[in-house]
Amino acid sequence: MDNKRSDEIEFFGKITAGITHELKNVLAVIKETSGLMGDLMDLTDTKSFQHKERFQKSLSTIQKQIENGVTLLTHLNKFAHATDKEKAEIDLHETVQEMTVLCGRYARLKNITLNAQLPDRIRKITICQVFLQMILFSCIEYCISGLPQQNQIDISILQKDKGDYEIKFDCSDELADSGDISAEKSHPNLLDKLKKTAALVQGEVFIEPSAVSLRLSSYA
Amino acid sequence: MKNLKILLVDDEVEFVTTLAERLRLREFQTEISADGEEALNLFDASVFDVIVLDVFMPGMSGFDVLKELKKRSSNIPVILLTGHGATEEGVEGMSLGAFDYLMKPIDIEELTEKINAAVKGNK
Repeated sequence: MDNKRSDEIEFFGKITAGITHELKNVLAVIKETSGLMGDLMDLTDTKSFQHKERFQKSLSTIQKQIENGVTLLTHLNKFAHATDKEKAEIDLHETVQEMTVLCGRYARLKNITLNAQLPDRIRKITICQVFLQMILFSCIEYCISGLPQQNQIDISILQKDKGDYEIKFDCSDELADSGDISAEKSHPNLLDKLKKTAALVQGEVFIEPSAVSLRLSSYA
Repeated sequence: MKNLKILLVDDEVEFVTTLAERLRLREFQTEISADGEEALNLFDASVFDVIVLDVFMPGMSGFDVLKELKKRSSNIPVILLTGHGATEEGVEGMSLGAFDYLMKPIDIEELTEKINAAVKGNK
């Protein structure tokens, strides 16, 4: 693959970003409408509407799901906008956080929890964000594939030197008894994909028995 | 503050209609408009305390409306509604003279707080 984002990726991102804006408007209408129902319910006494409590509980569920939807769409919107530019100055923490949220579904299918504990400090780097997203996804995909059910992947970022970062995907201790993600033969395709994707960001991937580390160098 | 008169401008009619009803339940007076040009006509024809203005609208955008208001030497406080996570748009709007901004979907209590703050700040 050429180390440039393709026209196809740019096209896909543009359409996706536009749709996320539309979907946010949909959620905004649902939020206001359910909010209005709540307002009106607050003006209604229990005697005149015996299902008031049940109704309010349902509205609360709707509001909670709207918040979940907004969070997902916000991350999806930023994900799609990553295709806007060939290279951009981005916050490494923010991108890792976004990918953690967006990959959550794949982890949940195996009852695996993704846990990104990142400090608030902003770490700006200039990079092709699409390729960074791809390698982060590949690392998570590799870990999920090698882990048994009911596990956790802890994601952290360490600054090794000026412009040098290590993003670590640390798998939980139970792994020692139940599997080994470093066994290359159990993930031939994913390992190959991981290495190819890392090359797109001039990164290196290191596989340990219970962790994958991505090293990014010279990103001052 | 009770009975403040608010002009709500958003091309999403169901959104703006419902928002207006919720604000009326909180004792605000409201008028709504679904596009920028109509909003400016309403502004010229009446007196409002605050304008709540969507940024993304077909035709005249919220920023265009804001610039037109400034051309009219208006000091009416404007609260912009931007897409969620779009802080850059909010910051740009404030540099154009908006009082503040909120990201959609909005929180009604936060909006009423900002409306009250806008009126106090303007007086």
